[in-house]
Amino acid sequence: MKTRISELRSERGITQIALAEALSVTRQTIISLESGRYKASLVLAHKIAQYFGMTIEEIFIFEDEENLQ
Amino acid sequence: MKNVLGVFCNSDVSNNEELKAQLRKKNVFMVLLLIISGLAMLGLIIYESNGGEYVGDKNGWFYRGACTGIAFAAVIFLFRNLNTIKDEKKLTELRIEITDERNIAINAAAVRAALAVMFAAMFVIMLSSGFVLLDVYTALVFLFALFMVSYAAAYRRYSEKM
Repeated sequence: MKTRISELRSERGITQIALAEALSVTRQTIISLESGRYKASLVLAHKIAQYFGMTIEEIFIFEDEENLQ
Repeated sequence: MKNVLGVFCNSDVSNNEELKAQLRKKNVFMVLLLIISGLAMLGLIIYESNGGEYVGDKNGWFYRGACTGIAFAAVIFLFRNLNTIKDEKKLTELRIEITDERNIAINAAAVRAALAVMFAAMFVIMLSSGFVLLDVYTALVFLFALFMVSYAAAYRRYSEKM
């Protein structure tokens, strides 16, 4: 799973710390989400989508085996 | 190692007030731990003053060390919790740290890994010296059985909740 968090953050001039504070998570979690090392839970994905005013699918890009065949 | 989360430090609190209440409960536990350690030390003093002897020469010192260590840790955690309760900034930092879902996932994986290492070590001890030292063998079998029963009970409880 890839995410567009880093891209969206850059576009809007939001720092990792500001995003982490808004979502009540650690900055390390944002770093791990952006690098794809950690997959967000449904609740966190929902919060991120709400924060950017988008849908989950617009931010999180699901790869082959993660989609219904 | 600054951000290593303790084995039992995960939480699902949603605001600082809930965290304060949780820290207060933990402090009650710390005070109990302090009292138990003190009572254990008192028991040791009474035992020794009545001419009680130990199985090994060093057992008394091990016992003293364990009691002092537990009491010392309880005092440290007690004051740390009291300091955190007074400071909103520290409370927020701690809340984020212990409720962060990645930290919780890391904690669960680390506990599983540590448990695997502990079981491997217990198995090796049981096979290598357990048949010579019956007490060690009995204690290890009891611990394995206790783990299995606790796991089964906890699994069933959480299955019903989820």
